[in-house]
Amino acid sequence: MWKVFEERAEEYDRWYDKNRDIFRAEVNCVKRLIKKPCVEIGAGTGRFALELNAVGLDISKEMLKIARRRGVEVIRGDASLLPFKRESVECFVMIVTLCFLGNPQKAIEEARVCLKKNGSIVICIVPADSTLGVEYAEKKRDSPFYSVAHFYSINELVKLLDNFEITDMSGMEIKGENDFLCVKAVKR
Amino acid sequence: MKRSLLDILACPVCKGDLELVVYEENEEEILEGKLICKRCNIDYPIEEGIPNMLPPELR
Repeated sequence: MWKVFEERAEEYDRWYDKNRDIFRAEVNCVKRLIKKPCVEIGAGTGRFALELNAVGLDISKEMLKIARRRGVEVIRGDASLLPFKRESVECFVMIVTLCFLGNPQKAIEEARVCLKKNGSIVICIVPADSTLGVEYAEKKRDSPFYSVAHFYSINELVKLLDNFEITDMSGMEIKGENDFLCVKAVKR
Repeated sequence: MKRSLLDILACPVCKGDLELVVYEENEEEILEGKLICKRCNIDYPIEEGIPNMLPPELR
């Protein structure tokens, strides 16, 4: 699934230049939930990681090269096999990454293993049942990126976070209410 | 890769400690080298400043 990002890293990255206002609002939406230095899983070309001062992990080398040029500290790795010590990380963040993972349940369990007690994971999605989520699903065939994505509803995300305590949410409107929604969950 | 990353980095397979070997380093970071998991007998290369922490079958 990630090969498309390896082959089209520059094309993917241009979205952020074309949609500066949306990106800026999304950064603020995420920042409301993050208080500590984080590791971003699926950091891609490092746009968010740079703003959040996060370490960026991604499976695509070509995406990471761009992130590194931006000044982001990067690690090549798989979300299902996180290269971190048990109970060593204060905070993880995943921004529109869940929809591209082959095994999201395994990725969330891996994050739980590597999080410190009372550490948090912030997951941001475009919900499948939001205005934008429905639009993306319709555009699937036309986009090399959306065609490999599986969008989750907020209920599905809550179910995936069964072993965590959800403590906060932050959403924003793009075309409809909560088109971009972040959920903060704490490991107890 | 900054040395401070070693505080959290581990072998993705066994989550065990890694041994660092540096080939090239500047004032800020390690540019070329490898991280070794002795338990799993796997080397994770550091190339152009990026540690590749994928198990060999995923590289």
